[in-house]
Amino acid sequence: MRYDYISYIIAILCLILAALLFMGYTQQIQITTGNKVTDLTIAMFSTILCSVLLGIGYMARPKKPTPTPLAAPLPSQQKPTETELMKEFKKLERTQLKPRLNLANTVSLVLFGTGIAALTASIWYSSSTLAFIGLGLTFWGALFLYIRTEKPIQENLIDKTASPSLATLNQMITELGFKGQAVYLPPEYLRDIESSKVFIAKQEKTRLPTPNQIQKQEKMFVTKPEGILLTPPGADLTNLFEKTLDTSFTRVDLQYFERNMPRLLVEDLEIAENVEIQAKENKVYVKIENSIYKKTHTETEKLLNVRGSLGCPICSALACAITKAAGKPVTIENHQTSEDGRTITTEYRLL
Amino acid sequence: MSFPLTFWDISLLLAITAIILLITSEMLSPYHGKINIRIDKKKLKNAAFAVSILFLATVAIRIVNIILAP
Repeated sequence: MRYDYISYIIAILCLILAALLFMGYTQQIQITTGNKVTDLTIAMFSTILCSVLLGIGYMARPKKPTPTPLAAPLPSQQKPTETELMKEFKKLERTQLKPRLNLANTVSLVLFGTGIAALTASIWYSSSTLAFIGLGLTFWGALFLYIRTEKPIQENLIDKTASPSLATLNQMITELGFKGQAVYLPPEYLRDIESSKVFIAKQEKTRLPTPNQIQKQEKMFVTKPEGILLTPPGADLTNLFEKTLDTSFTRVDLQYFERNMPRLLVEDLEIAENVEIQAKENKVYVKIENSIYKKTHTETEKLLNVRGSLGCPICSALACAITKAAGKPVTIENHQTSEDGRTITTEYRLL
Repeated sequence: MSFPLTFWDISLLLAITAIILLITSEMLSPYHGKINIRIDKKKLKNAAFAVSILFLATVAIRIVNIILAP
C-alpha cells in the first residue's frame, strides 16, 4: 500500500477545509455559523496538519535507486580545462554542503513558521486565542530546532570500527612474543605528560623499567629491559574525558576520579547506564552497566592479549585515567563480564 | 492593532512550559528513565532552566509591583 498517497490525499482534504474556513472567515462564503476566531483557529490547525502530512508523505515515499549516467569518454581534444574542472568541483561541493531537510527539521520549521504566522494574525485581529497558539507553536518550533541531536551515531558502528584495530594489536603482540603483563605508565615515565603509554615486557616476570630508562628510549621497541611501548586503545577516550571534565587527570587525585567519573560516563557522555567506582588501598574496582562498548568488549573477550592485559577501549581509557590521577603504574588485574554481557567488572592494581 | 496578551498571560504560559520541560528533562535523565531517545538532553535541560528562570523573573516583577504599589 502506498502510504504516501494516503498522506497526500488527507493533506489535500485538510487544505480544502482550511481554505473554506478561511473564506468563511473573510465572509466571501457562508459556511459556518460559529465564531470567526474559532473558524480561523481551525483553519490554521488544518494548514499545520496539511504541512505535516505532506512532510510525512514525502518521507514515506518509496525510494528507488536512480542509476547514475556514465560519463561519456571524452576525446583527447575535448579535455575539460582547469577552470571547468574547478566549476564542476565547486558545484559538487555546494550540492554536498546543502543542509538536508529531514522529518524532524521539517516539523520544527513548520511549527515555527506557523507560530510566527499565528502571532502576526493575533496582532492583526486582536485575538488572544491566536496569540496563545502562536506563542506556543513558535516556542516549541524553536525548541525542537535547538534540541535536535546533530550527529547521531549508531551503536554498532563503534564495535565495527574498534574491533579490527584491537585484533591487529592482539596479533602483533602474540606474533612478536611479548608475554608480559601490560603496565599503564604514569606521566613521570613520559616526555609528554598528557599522553598515555602502555608497556609490555618481552618476558613474563620482568621488572618494570625506571622512568629514566623509558624516557631515554621513548620509542615503540624498548631494549633495556626488552619490551614494547604502545599507545593504549583507550588513550583518545581519556583525552575526551579530560576535555569534557575541563581538567587533566594529572592535576587531580583518585578521590576526584572516584567522585566525578560515574557522572561523566552516565550523564555527560552517556557511555553507560550505571557506573560504580571504588578505590581501596592499591586497588580500584570499576563496575560498568550496559555500556555502549559492550559488543566491543565481548569481541575483545576472544582476543587473549587484549582481554588479559590491555582491556577493551573503555577499560583501557579508565586505566589511563587512573594511572594519571594516581601517578603510579597500573595493571588490569581482573576482568569479569556478566553472562548477558551487560555488566563489566574490572579490577585495577596500582603498582 | 495591539498584542492581545498581557504580561500575566505570558507568565502563565511560561509557568506551564517550564513545568513540562522540567518534567521531560528529568524523565529523560539517564538515572531515571529512557536514555535511547536521540535528542540533546543537555540542551533540553538548559532550555528548561532558561524558561523556569524567565517565569521566576515574572514572579519577582509581580512581587516588586505588589510591594511598591501605593
